[in-house]
Amino acid sequence: MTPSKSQFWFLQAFRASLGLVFVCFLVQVIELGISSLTVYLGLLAGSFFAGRFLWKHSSFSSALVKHYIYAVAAYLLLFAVNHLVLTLGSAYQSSDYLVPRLTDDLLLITVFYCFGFLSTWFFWKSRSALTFEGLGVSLFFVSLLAAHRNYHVDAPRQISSLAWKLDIFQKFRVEPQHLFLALGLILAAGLILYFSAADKRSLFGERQLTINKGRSSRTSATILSLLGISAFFAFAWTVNTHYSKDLSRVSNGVGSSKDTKEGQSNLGFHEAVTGTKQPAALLRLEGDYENNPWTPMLYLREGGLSRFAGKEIVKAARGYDSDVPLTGTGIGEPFLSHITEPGEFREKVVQSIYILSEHEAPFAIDFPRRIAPIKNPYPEKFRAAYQALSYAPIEPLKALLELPIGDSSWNSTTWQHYLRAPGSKSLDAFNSNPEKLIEALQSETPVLDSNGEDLRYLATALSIAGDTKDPIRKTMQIINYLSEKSIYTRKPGHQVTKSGDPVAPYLFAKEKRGYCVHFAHAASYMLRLLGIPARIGTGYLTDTTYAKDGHILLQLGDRHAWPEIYVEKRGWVVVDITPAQAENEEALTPDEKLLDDLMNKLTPVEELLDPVSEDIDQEQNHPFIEKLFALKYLGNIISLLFILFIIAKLWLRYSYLLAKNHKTLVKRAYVSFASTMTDCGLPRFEGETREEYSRRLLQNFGVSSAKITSFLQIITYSGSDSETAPSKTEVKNSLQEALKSRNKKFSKLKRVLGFFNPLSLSRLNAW
Amino acid sequence: MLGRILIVVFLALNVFYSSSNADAQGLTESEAQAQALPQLSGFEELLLEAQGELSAGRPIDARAKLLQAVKLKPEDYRSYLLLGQYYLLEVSSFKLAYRYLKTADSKFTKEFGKDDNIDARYQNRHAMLLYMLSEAELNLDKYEDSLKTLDRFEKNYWMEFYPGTRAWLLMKLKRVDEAIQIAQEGIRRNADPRRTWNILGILLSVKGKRELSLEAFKEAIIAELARGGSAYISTPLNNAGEVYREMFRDGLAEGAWLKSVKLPDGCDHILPSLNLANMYMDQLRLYQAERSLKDFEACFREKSDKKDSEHRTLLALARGKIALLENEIDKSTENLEIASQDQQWFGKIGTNENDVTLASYIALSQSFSAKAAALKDSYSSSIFGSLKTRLRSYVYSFRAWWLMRQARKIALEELDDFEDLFIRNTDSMLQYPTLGAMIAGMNSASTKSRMKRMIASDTRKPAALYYRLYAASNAGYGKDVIAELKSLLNQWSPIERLAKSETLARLLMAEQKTSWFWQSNDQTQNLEELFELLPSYIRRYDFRLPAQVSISSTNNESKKYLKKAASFLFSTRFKKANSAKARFRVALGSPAANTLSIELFDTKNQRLLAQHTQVFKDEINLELLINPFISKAFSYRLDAPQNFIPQLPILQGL
Repeated sequence: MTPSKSQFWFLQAFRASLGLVFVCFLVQVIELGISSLTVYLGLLAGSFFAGRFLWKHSSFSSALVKHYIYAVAAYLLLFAVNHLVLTLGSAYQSSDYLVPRLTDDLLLITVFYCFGFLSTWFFWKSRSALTFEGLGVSLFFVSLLAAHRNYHVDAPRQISSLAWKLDIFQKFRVEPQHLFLALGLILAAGLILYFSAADKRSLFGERQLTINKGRSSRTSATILSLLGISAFFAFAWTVNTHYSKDLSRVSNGVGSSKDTKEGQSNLGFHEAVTGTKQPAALLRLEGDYENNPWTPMLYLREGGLSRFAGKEIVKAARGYDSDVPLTGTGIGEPFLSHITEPGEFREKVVQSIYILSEHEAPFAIDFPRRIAPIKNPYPEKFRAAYQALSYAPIEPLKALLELPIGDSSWNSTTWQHYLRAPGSKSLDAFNSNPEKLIEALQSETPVLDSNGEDLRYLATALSIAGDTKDPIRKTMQIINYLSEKSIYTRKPGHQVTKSGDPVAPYLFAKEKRGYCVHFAHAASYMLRLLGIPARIGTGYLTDTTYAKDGHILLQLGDRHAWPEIYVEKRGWVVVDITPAQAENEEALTPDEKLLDDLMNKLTPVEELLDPVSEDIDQEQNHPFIEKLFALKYLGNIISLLFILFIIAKLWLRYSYLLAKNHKTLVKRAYVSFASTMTDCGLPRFEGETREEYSRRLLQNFGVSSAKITSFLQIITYSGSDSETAPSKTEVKNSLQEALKSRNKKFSKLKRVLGFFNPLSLSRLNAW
Repeated sequence: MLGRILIVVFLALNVFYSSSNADAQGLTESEAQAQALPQLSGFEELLLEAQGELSAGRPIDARAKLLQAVKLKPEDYRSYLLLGQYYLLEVSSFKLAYRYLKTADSKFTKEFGKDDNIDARYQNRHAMLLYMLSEAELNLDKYEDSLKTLDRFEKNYWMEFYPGTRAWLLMKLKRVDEAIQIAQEGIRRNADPRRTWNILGILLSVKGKRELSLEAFKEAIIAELARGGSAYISTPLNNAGEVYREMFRDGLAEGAWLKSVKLPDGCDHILPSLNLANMYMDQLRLYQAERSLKDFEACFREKSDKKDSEHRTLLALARGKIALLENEIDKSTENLEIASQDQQWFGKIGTNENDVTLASYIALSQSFSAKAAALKDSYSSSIFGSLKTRLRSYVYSFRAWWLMRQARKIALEELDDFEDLFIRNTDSMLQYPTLGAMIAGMNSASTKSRMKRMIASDTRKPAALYYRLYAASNAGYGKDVIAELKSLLNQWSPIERLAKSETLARLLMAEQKTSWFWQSNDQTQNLEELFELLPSYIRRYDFRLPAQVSISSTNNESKKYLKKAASFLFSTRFKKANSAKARFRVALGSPAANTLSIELFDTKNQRLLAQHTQVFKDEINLELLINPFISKAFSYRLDAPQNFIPQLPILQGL
C-alpha cells in the first residue's frame, strides 16, 4: 500500500509547517548558536529525503547504509580540508579551527536532519508514530509552560522577553498569562488539526486497507476537531478567570488594590506562590532622596488596610487612611492630599512612575502630596504615566524615641479603630489577670476571651514589651522579636480552616514560618494591643542598589505588605520586619537590559536630541524569526495562506470551464463535483470505486451523480473520440444536475461552511 | 579603566568649573543675552547649581536641573555637554552619554563653526567635548568612530591624558605596536606619567616583553608616589602581579597582590583579590581563595559607595569555581548560573565580557557534569527514586554537553579562535583546568597544530607543560598519550597542585579506557594520590576509590542494612582494594543501639570522617547514611601550607 501523491505531499507540507513552528519555538527557548533557518532547512531536508527513500521503496537498512556512506565521505572530505587548511595555515597563519567551526554547526544540522528523517520515516511507516509524536510534542510544551502552574508568569524567560521586545503585552493590553494560554490553545488546536489530517493516512508497506463505512469520517473529524478546540478554548477561559483572580495573590501574597473594596483585603495568607521578575513599573526619581531612612530600600505605598475584621485587617471605610491615594482614585486621575506642607520631618521627593503591567491604583513614595498624570513618552511599552510629589520621611525609627504616638486630633472612634486587634476588647480585664495571660502564653491552642478572640496575641505582645514604657521602644522590641524569630518562606504550609485565624499558625508556632502578610498582621495586632495605632501598608519594596540614574525597575516580585505606626507630627511610619532566615529565597535582580532600554526611551528632551544612529540601537533590530512572530508578519502569512486556499478551491470548482480539450473537461468536471461533495463531508473512501461511490451517494443522500461518473468512465476507458463520448453541454448539464440534487440535501450554510473547511483539501486523492 | 574614569572626572570637573565661570561672564552673544534676560540668567544659574549638585554627590538633582536647562535654552550646547558628562561618568549609561554628547557636538559646531575655526576661549571646552565623545564611543565598542573623534581632537588640541587614551584605543583595535609608540611619545612629553606608564606596561606585557613591562609598572608606581599623600598604587601593583604570574613567579605575584589589597585603594576594584583567588585555586588553597573574596567584599562594603554590579559576575564565577573544586556542587551551580546569566559590562584589561561568559559556560558545564556524576552515586531506597535520579543524571550530562558546545562556539567565533588565550593570562579568567576541559572536546588535528605552534612561539619554558597537557587531554587514550601524561606527572612544581590533579585524572581516564578489567598498582596509587590532592575529582571524573571494607555489628538486622550500604558504596564510588596496603578503609558499624555509622580511615587509622544515622521505629533510611557520607568523603578537606613570599623587586628602593 502506498499513499496517494496528493495525500503524501499535503501531509508532508503540513508537517513542514509544524516543523517551522517547532524550530521557531525552540530557538526562543534554547540558544542554538546557529541560524534558525539553517536548522529548519536541516529538518526539512531530513523529511524530504525520508520521503524520497520511501517513494523508492527503499528499506530502512538501505537508507541507513547510504547515509553511512555519505557521512563517512563527508567526514573524510572535512578531514582532508582540515588537513589542507592546517598545512596551509602554518605557512599563512590562518585559523587552526576554520573547519572545526563549520563541523560544529554541521553536527547540529545533522542532528536536526536525523530528527526530520526519522520522524518522517516512522510517520509513514508506522501508525503508532503519530501517537509518539503527539506525546513528544505535548510533553515538550507542557514542560515548557509548566512553570506557569506556579504562577511564574515570566517563564519561560525567552518567550516573555520576546513578547516584551515585540511590545505584545502593551499593544494588545494583555498580561503574560494570556500569551501563554493563547500559546497552549494554538498548540492544542494545531495538534487536533494535525491528528485529524494525519490519522487516516495510508502507510507505505501497510498490507491491510482501512476502509471507512457509513457517514464520512472527515465530517466527524472536523466536528470533533472544532469541538476539541472549543473545549480547549473554554478551558483556557476558565483558567484565565482563575489566574486573573488568583494573580492578585501571586506576588508575595500582595495582590492589586484595585478590586479591594471596603471590608476586603488584597492580601493572601495561604501561599505567596512565587516571586516573579515580571516588570511592573518603572520608577524615575526626579531628585535625590538623600535622607531615606531605609537606604538602600525604598517603600512605595499603594494601599493601606486598617479595619480589623475578626480574622484579618481589611480596608477601612472612607475617612480613615486618607493619606493613601488609592481612595477613590484611578491610575490616571489626579490626587491631592489634604496635608499641604512637608514640615521639618519630611523632604520633598518628586518621582515619575511609568506603568508596565496592569495597575488600577497609583502608588508613590510615602506619602504623596500630589499625583498627576503626565504624557506617556513611550506608549508601546508604558500603559500609563504619572508624576508624584511626595513628602518622604527622613528619620529612622530610633530617632522617634520618646515621641507621642497617635494624633491628638483623633476622636475615640478613630483611636479604637486603629487599636482594634484580637483580644483588644478584653484588654483591661486581662491586664489585671496575669495568670490567664501566662496560660495563654504557654498554650499551643487558642485561649479565647469572652468575645471568642485569641488572647495569645496580647500575652505575646506583653511578654515581648515587658516593662518598657516608650511606645516607639515597644515597637522596636516587637519588630526585633519578629525579625529574629521569623523564617521567610513563600510556602508556610499552615493548616487553617476557612473560618480559622490565619495569623496564629505563624506567630504561635515554634518555627515562625511565613511571609510579609503574616509578619505585617502579627506586628500590627501586637502593636495595637500595646496601645500603638498601627495599620498595614501595601505596595512595593524595592532595592535601590539596582537603580541606575535614579531609575528603578519594579517587578511583581517586589510587591510587599508592611506594618506602620502613627507618630504624632510624623504621620504613618513604616516599621518593617526583616526575617533573619529565609527559605528558598530567590534573588530577584531586575533585568538590567530592560531597565537600560526603558531608560533610554524616557529622556524628556527626546525631541531636542540628535536622532540615534542605526548602529547604536542595533540590538533593537529583531532577527527574522522575531519578525515572523510579529503579528503583522504572521497576519500577512495567514492572509497569504488564505488567499492560496481560496484560489485552490476555486480552481477545483471551476477549472473545468477553462479546459482546453474534451478529456480534461470531463475529468475536471468530475473533480468539481467530487470536491463539492468532500466539502459536504462526503468524500470517496479509500478503495471505493467511483460507481460504488455514486451508488452510495444516491442511496444514502439522494445525490444523483451517475451521469457524470459514467461520462468519466467513458472518457477514461474509451477515449474522447469514441462515439459514446458526451458532448460539452452534456457534461456541464450532468454536473449541474448532480449539484442540484446535492443542493436539495445540504443547506446553503452547510455548503458555505464546507467550502471554507481547510480540511476539505486534504482528500484530493479521493477524487 | 578605573584610573581612566577618575582622570576624566577630575578633568571634566576642572574644565567645567573654569568654563562655566567664563560663561557666566557673558563671553558670547547668546551668553550676553542670557545675562540680560531673566529667563536666560535662570539657565546659567541652573548650570551652576547642577555643577554644585554633582560635586556635592546629588547626581539626580543635578540631572533634573540640567534637563530644565535644556528645555529653557535648547540651542545651547552646554547643558547637553554636562548631561553627556553626567551619563558618561556618573551613570555609565554610554548610549545616553553618546546621544547627549553628539547633540552637544552638533550644537557646538553650529554655534562656533568647524573644528579648525574655534575661538581660543572655547577650545578647552571643545577639547573636553571631543574627548568625552570618544570615550562614549569607545565604551559602545565603536572603536573606529572613537579613533576618528580622537583624530579631530589631535588636530587642534593636546592634553596630557590624550596619549594614554589613544594608546588604549589602538590596543582595542589590535594595533599594539602603534599603541606602544604613542604611549612612549606621551612619556617623552611627560603626559600624565602615572597612567601612561601603566598603559605602556600593559601594552608591553601584551607584546610578551614582560621584564620591560615590569619596569613600566615600576615607573607608574614612582610617578604615583611622586604625587605625595596616600599611595594609590594598587592598579600598577596588580598589573605587575599579573605579569609575574604570567612569568610563573607565583611567589612574587602573590606578594604583589597581597600588597595591593592592603593599600588604601586595594578594594576599589576586585582584580587583585580575584587574581589571588584564582591563583590560590591553582595551588589548591581553596579556603584561602574564599577568604580573599570575603575580605574583598567586606572591604568594598566598608570603603566604597559604589555598586557591586562591577564585580558581581566575577565574584559569582570565582565562588562557583571554588565550590566546584570543594565538591559543593549545588552552591557551585547556583553561583555559576548567576555568572553565566549576568553580563559583565566591562572586561578586565585587554579582555571583554565574552571571556567571562566563556569561563562561566565552561565552569557551569563542569558543574553539571559533576552533578551528573554525583547523581550516579546517589542512593535511593525506591525504584522510582533510582529511576528519577538516573534520568536527572542524563539530563545534567546533556546540559553539560550543550553548554560546552556553546562555550566552544564563543571561543571560536567571538574570541578569534581563542588566539589570545595563553597560559596564565589572567585576563582570560581561564586557568587550567577550565580551558583544558573545553580544549579536550575540540578537533584533535587542529588542537595538535595549535599547541605545536604555541609551544614554538611561547618563550616561557614552564608554559610548555600546560600546552602538552592540553594536547594530551585532547589526543584520546592511546599508549603514547599515557606515556606523555606519565612524563608530565613528575614535572609539575609542588605548588601547581591543580594541574597535577588534572594530569592524574586524565591519566587515570586514559588508563581505564585501555585496561577495562584490571587495575594496576600504579593506578591504585594514582587514585589515592588524586583523592588526597583533590577528592572532588574522584567523583567528577567518575572514578572509584580503592579502599578496604569492614562491617561490624552484633545486631543481625543492622548488619543486613550495613551490608546493603557497603554493597552500594563499593559498586559506585569505592572499589575493594586488592591488597592490604590500601591507604583507606571504609568501616561500617553500629556503634550504639539504634545507630548506624560509616567511617573513613586512612593508613594510620586516623578517622577522616564519620556519618551516623538513627534507627526510628525499626525503619532505617539508608539515604540519610550513604548520601551524606559520599558527599563528605569527596569534599575538600585541607589547604596546602602558605608559600614563602619573597620581597618584591618592583618596590625595592621605593
